[in-house]
Amino acid sequence: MALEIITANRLGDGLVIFLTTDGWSARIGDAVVSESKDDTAALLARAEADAGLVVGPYGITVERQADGSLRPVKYREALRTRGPSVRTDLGYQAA
Amino acid sequence: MYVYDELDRGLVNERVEEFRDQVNRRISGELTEEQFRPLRLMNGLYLQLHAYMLRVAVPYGVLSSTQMRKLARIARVYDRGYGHFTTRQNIQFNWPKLEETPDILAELSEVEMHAIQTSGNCIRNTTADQFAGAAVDELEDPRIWCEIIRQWSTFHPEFTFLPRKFKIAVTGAVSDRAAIKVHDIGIVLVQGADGEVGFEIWAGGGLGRTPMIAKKIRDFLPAADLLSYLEAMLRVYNRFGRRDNKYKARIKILVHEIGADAYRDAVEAEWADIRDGALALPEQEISRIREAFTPPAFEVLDAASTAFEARKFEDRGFARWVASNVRRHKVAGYAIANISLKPAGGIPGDATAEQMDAVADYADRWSFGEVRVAHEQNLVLPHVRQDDLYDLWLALGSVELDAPNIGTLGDIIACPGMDYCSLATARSIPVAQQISERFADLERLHDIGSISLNISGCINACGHHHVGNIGILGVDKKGEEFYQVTLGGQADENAAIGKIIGPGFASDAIVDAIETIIETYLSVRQDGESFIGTLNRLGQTPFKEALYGTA
Amino acid sequence: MALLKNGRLIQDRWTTVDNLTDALKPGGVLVPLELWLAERDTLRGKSAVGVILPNDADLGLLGDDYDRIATIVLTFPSMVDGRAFSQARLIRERYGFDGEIRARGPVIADQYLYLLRCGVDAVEVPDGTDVESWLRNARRFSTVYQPAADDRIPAYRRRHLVAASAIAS
Repeated sequence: MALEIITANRLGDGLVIFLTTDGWSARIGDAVVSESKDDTAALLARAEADAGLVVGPYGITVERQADGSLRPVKYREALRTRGPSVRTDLGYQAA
Repeated sequence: MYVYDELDRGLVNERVEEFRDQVNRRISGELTEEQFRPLRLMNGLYLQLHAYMLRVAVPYGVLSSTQMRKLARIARVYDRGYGHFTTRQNIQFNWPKLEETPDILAELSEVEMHAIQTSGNCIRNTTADQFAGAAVDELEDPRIWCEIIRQWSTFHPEFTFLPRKFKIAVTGAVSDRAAIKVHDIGIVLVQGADGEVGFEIWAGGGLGRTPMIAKKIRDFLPAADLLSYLEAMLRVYNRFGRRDNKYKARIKILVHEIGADAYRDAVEAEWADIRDGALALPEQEISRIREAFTPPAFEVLDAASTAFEARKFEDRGFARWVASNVRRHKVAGYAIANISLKPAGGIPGDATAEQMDAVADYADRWSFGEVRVAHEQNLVLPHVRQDDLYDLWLALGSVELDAPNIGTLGDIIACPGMDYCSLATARSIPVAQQISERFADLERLHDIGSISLNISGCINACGHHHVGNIGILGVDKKGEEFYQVTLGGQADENAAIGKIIGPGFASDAIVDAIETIIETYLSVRQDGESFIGTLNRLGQTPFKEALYGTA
Repeated sequence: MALLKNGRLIQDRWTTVDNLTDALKPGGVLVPLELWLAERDTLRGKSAVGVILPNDADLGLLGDDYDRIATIVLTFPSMVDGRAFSQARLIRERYGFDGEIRARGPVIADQYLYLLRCGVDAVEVPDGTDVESWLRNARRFSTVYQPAADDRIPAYRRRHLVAASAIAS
């Protein structure tokens, strides 16, 4: 099965975050990775229990790159890790 | 323009407190996201791809300079220094924090602004012709009726949980600059038998997944009956609109499925019971609101300004800007000045806080403090003396707002697309940028002439691609962005839905495809014929041949 | 479940039943519309009967019964399905019903003002509901823009009442 991680938006400021082993992070590299459907379901359940912190958690498919980093397979999800392609001065990509 | 009285002000302030309370209850967990979501949507707050997005209402597209300055301040203080003007005359901010939104709304309320009902399954911003009050051809200022509708539809206890969103547009002229035929309810001001102003009523228009042109429901409705009739129309929709399928829940589906006649009969039957009741508008209220739209103190000027004519002669750049951006005004010596938010290679509809402040200044200096937002995502200074147009143009140049491309191929209407929107299936802005860069040459642009190009990043059609002379729809084809082209759409009184021309194009081919379409037009057009004229005369055949090599 | 009525949380003394035998037992009973229509003659004789309406019901089916029914229960299948708001208004304004109209379903405090304005005067809520929160929402707005089933005067009339009385005095 492909690798999956859980992403959501932070309740307070709406920014993109990823589920980690013990919480949430704005960095995709910190995400806890699932390699099975059961794992993904369990992670999603944990994410949904955090309704006071996050909004709309869902799973996305990722690939591990040669350098070990995680990259979303879908372009839309990749955009979410960066920011608008037409304003590279905005979003995470600007940091 | 309409100025709030104590009653209006109280409501907006109370709404801010209500939302503050709702945000607190969401953060504390008292409200679930499922409960909170419809509430925040009714205050214009979406959750998008990268962050929240706040859609602030610009009722029927009218802004005072004070309000524009406040929008600039919101952009600066709470957002990332810019805003986006939308295809429904509103403005969107892309980076607000939920926690700060009550403060944003509180600041907006100081200048009689809000984000009430700019989203959600309720009645949205009632839009109008951006030239209202200035247009030569209008029967009466449609904004009077937009304001009346705005109040009636705000916090309507019966119609706040409709099957789906509901959009109303009003045109004061036969020449429809408000696209009323693709709205849930479209209203045309018409003259009755005794010369009094009344309404022609249309219903069931819309774009999105299933674009439809509205059907005429009534030839003439007396003015005082407007609210009772609308109430009957909404009640029938609220009761019988589909709720089983989100994509079949708009009124256009109801009108389509039961037929316009059955819908009309149901409305008229409902209306018969309520027409002479509490919703009959008192004449004093109509007068009060009509007075709010009394024209400004225009000077008495000559119809032609020698200084203006001289400037056009001397300065070709100015002449070109006038040709595309300036429209006739009903008052002698005045003009309507369109401000393009579509610089070549730029993001359509976006304006920086500095630009907003500048436009506010120009409005104070040259347009009686008034600005309009067009659904083509541009701004308008509605009442400029011809004598002042040159100074205005120079000033606009200093803030990069002088693109002479209104109504041309450079005046692209595009939704934010997948760069911002969580609903999108493809990006739309890069396509707009590339097309506008390809056609940046002004001589060529003006030679091509009047044309509309609309781009939507998904099937929800917020870019109104169905009614563009050229429409582009971005889709996902096996994980790649892919673009379908439609031709022949029209948003005006000759409303028409564009037809798909053939197989779509990859992102590295779409700009060439548009160029091929334009070149084809130029090669077959007759003298003085616009793009849509040529297309309507010849059909799609020459364009298909040029694109695909077959008929 | 409890009943929010007249600004207070009270015990709901009505029982929802689905058959005639139970419907004829003493005490207030709420019956589904089909049962009422099928056993109308019998049920009309009982004093404390209420009818539960689906939110797509044809209100004309109750015809002359509006003055025989003590309570009408309107259905909100979800918080966002607003059909019953129209039903409430029609039952009050067109059919002149002045018994209790109650809302059943997952409605929230933020909808209370709209419910009241449409003529609903009771809401079925979970035990222990924070009544203050509901009342706060009901009192929140000092002005209304449109007439409804309540007697609040819409802004477009209020503005000119003041003017008229100023002229008269």
